[in-house]
Amino acid sequence: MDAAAVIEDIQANLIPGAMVIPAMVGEVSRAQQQYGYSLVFVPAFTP
Amino acid sequence: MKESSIMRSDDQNERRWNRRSLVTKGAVIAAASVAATGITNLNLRPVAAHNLPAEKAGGPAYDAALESEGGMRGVFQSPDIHATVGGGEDLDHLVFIQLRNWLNSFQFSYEMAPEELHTIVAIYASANTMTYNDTIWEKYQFGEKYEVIDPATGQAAVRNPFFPSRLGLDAPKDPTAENNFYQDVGIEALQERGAVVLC
Repeated sequence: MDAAAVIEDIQANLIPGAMVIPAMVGEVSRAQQQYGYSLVFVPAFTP
Repeated sequence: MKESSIMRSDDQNERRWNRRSLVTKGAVIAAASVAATGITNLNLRPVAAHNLPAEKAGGPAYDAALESEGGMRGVFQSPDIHATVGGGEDLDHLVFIQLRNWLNSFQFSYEMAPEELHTIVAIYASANTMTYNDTIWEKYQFGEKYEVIDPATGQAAVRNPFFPSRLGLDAPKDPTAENNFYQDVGIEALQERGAVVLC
């Protein structure tokens, strides 16, 4: 199974309502800069 | 979607992709796929990280969330699937706990209407697996790969334990009731409250 097939498989099996976007890091910036969203960042830690 | 929200024109996108090394991109994606799935015998041919042109992003709900007027807007970002709190029957991720708390604070402490609260969930790297359904979790053994233990079985998860509503979508809508709807941190329940989940 090649990488393209894996990506295709994953994109066809998302949770209901999930939306594929061009680039996550881009959307985080776009939501803030162009649409006024404030960022709430949850870092990699375990309480 | 607003014209200004499109980052590049079709022509610019085409030139941008042609200039980039697709072999390099394919190698990066192949490596990421190996890391995500554990598959080692990949046929390494060039492939894009996604096949979604910029103008095809999102959907009507996402556009509505981005273009909403007024209210409060928050984008919730997390890179690591291990930022979790366990115990009992559920395994909860901190990004969804924060999202629930954010919604409840504005709805009940600041007395804002639910329709005024706009949220986006942007989870990436290992946290991106929380946007995949049970089929993918079982097929690629993400529970074993990322050491995510399903509280229901005590074993490596073969389902997405973060998606289901914990209390049921028909849980009491009274915020003072025990196990009411507003305590739920399942992705399914937070989507009912308007959260838009990106992948």
